[in-house]
Amino acid sequence: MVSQSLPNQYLADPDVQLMMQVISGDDSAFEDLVKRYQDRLIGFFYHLIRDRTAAEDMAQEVFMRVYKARERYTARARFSTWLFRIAHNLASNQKRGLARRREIPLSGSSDPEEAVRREQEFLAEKSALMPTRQIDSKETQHIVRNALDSLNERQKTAVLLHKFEGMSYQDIGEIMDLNVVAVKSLLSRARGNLKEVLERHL
Amino acid sequence: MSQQPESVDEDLDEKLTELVSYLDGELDDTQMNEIERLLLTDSAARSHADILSRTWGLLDSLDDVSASGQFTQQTLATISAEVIKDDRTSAGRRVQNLAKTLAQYKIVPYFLVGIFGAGVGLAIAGMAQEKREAESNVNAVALEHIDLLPSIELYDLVPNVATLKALKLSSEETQTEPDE
Repeated sequence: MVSQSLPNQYLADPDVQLMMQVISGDDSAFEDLVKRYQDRLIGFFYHLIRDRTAAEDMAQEVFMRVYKARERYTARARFSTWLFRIAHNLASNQKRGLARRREIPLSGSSDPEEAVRREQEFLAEKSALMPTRQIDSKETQHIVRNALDSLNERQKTAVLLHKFEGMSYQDIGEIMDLNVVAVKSLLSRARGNLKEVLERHL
Repeated sequence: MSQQPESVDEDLDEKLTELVSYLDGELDDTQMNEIERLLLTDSAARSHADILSRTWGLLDSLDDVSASGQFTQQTLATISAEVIKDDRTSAGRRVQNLAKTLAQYKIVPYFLVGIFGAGVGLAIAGMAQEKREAESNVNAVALEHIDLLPSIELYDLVPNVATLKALKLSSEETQTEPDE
């Protein structure tokens, strides 16, 4: 266990401990951190941008930034909060860069009505083949993915962090640089939009 | 009493926000109790909460994504290569930065040269002063024993003034004796 001279509530976090070992020059500790977080980071980026190769590239970039920042690292939050803050900033910067270059948008339309229309077209196409069939899991995935894409970037990020990373409102606020009230409002609107698109499939 | 539509919407929005926070476990005890009372008495709120929970649950159907087989090793190798590259360039960068800093602050080297020059000048002045004082001391001694100056050609034979004085005293003693 690496010790520090001042008491720090975050030192109990095992991932913070690993990061302290990385600072001391232990590269195997860094490998452990990569293995612990790679799937989570790639999943986060994939659901944001829907491109697996780009998601892996971005996850790699996050680990690069973590390693380069090791000498300046201090445990001011849980390690996962710090890591996903880097990830969120990277995703925001990438999106801004792509918007400036007017390339293909990273996610679908940020409009629940548009999402419903696309979904109806998708289902109509499927139903034409077998009108009385039930929706299968692949279709459910497609519908849910569509619903997620109907959210704006910030709503989607908050949903992914809360749903798949189990982050609290406080943690999400630290990652997205928002206060708790703003996160509350963001998630409320996101869930309202998801409800609008998905409730007919319940 | 009638209410403005905007107020009703805001109240509804606030209730929905609190409901979502309740479902997310983010309310304190007081707020939680309030929502639970609402859910007990308001069937529309109950229905809304149920739909919110179930649509939230549909997100679990999204595909699980995991890293490709080589991701870990590729990531570590890429970072390692980048760090080596950074180490090589940082040494060169440090020299460049120093040169830039000196170029930006041109007065600093000139100031340092000036300080050095002043120090050398003071040292030389100090040495000159010491030499003058030494010479002055020599002159004072010579004036004190001015009566010895007539026999100056003999002084090369004596090592110091004390010996000279002793010789002079001896010759004065012999002169007091009458010539035979």
